[in-house]
Amino acid sequence: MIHIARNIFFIIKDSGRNIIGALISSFGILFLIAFLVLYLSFRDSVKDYVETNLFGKLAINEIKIFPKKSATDSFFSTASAVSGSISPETVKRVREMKDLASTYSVIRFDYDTRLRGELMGQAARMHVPVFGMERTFFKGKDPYWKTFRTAEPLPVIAPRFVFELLNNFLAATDLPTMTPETFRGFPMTLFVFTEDPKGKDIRNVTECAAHSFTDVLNLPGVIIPSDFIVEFCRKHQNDSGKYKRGYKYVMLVSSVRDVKRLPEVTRKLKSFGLAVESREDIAQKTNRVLEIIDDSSLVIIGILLILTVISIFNSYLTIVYTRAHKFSLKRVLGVSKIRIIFGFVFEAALIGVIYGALGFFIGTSLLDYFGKNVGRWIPALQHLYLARPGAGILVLALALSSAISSISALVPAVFASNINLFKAMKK
Amino acid sequence: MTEKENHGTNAILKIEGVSAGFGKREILSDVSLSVMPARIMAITGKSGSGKSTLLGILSGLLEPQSGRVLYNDDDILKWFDFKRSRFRNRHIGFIFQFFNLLPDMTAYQNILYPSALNVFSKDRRGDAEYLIRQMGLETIRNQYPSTLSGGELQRVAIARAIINKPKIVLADEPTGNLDEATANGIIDLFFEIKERYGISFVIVTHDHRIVERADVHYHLEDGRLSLISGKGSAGLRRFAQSGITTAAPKTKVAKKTAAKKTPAKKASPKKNSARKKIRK
Repeated sequence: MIHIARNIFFIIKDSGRNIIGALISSFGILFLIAFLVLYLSFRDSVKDYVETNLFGKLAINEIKIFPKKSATDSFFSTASAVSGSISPETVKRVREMKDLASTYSVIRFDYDTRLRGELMGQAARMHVPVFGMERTFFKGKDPYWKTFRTAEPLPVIAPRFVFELLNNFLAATDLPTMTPETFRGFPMTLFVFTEDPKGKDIRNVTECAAHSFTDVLNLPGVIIPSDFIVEFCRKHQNDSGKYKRGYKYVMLVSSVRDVKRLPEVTRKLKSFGLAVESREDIAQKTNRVLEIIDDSSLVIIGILLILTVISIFNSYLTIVYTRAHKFSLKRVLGVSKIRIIFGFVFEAALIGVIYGALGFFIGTSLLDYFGKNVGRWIPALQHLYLARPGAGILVLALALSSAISSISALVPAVFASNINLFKAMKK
Repeated sequence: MTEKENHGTNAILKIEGVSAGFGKREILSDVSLSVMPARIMAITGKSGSGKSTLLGILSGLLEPQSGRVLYNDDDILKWFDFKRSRFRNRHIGFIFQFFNLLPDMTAYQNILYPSALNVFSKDRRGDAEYLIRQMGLETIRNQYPSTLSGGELQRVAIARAIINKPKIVLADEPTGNLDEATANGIIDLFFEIKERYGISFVIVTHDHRIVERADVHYHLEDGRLSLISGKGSAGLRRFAQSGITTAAPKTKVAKKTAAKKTPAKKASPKKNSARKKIRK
């Protein structure tokens, strides 16, 4: 026991003597750990962000129902909802399902729609799909949900990415970015083009105002109260002299009474020729995005790892040859091979721990810096919250860096223990 | 000294039928040797004749291609490295031509180092202090090797070699890098240590003064070890005829030390008598 303790003491003492030189040699590990810390923290933040902004949020018991052809394994199924439609009969059947507590239908104008707005003296009129949604759907999801009703001006909810695009535009023109609240009441004009019996366009103008931004539905267009669309279409259903309903059902959002029965509900909805997306599906999609991030990060980590290992291996090999005389002398004096190897590996592990801690600190500092500035550089990412890495990542960084360092030093350590003693002693 | 001693039963360390070489080149061929207690054994031979290899095999640092190395009738070549290292630490001391002290340790720390590896050393600091006093190293105890003269370095190396009270000290040309006066002092020290502590010395050397005073003298040639004899024998004459002369300082340190301490031409009466003996 005393022998082991004494050996450990000597190994620590020896490592202390050589630590500066070895520290310089293993510098590369710092980048690896800093990148790893950044990546792991980024990953969690990006996961939240992707879930929220790319695919929309769903409660655990909520499902999105799409027409099948537009949603079959589509990565951006919400976006593809523009082209498909669900028949009113199917909507009725879905609404009648006892397993569903509530069903909200998303409808879309079946007319050409345009939206006109003016920002910083620049007017723009563009084709925008216009969707309708019931007011109560936004209860608990939008703080201004009560005022989302047919009125003048007509409230318009835009997807979150529109807000970010606007801010990007402002940032690109060196103008200060805005909060969602500043955009509230922003005036717009909605044009809906119906046809007269001769096939000429009838321009129907409605004054609108920005109501809020949503990341719940993530539709590729703006949302207005559905009763406005229904009422408008009722008024104009015979404009062309031939009946046209004027809107179509593109998506349903339902909440399931009992989450456990979600698989049965899904099966039943699929039997109606519909596609269903639950939170689990969104998680799967998020995972696919994360897989892309993971794969590219792993390539970078892999390259850094290889470079680090080669660099440490090379440095330690140099150390072995420069300290060959010392190692051989110690062997002569009675130091065993295993102690030479252990001493070397311990030294490398110690350096790994130091660099692990340093890399963690640098990674965290970079993360803080990015967190503060990413919104300024890329306004679309201003809601990207970069969470500080926790104790788990610190432990992982320390363990990983010491493992990489000591494994890289293992082969040189074996060389050190097998140096031709008498040859080295003669030098 | 008889041929019988070569295979002595009370030997501390024995090698039997040892052959060693590098590639096709055979350095040692069927060599047998016994190290008896409290003896000074000189081994001579040309450069590259395998003297250092023999020391390496005796200490268990090098493994021969065939043969056995016996310590208390136990073949040390069959031991794990850990046990062999422990054996080397406790029972073998080393002295080298180029001193080989650890450069980042003081003289005192260098002396203490082997005992730090030895769990059975009870009063290692006391032993180190005793040796420092015995060898007159008090004034340089806290100095680093780079500041010491050749003689001082070798005395520190000797103290380091015997701190664990080993049974054998293996010395590889211990006077090869020292001026005459210093070398004489070191040789005297070897005999004093042998008398006082009963430690055996196996000294690989070209120095006739060691050969003259050694209890046993072996010569290594063409991979074969021949027992030449004891003091003043015919074997010694053969050795003298082989052209080996008094070791001269080789390194800068030794030359500096030689210049400082003794004029090179001033040879001691003892040395003159040794020369006369060789000329005979």
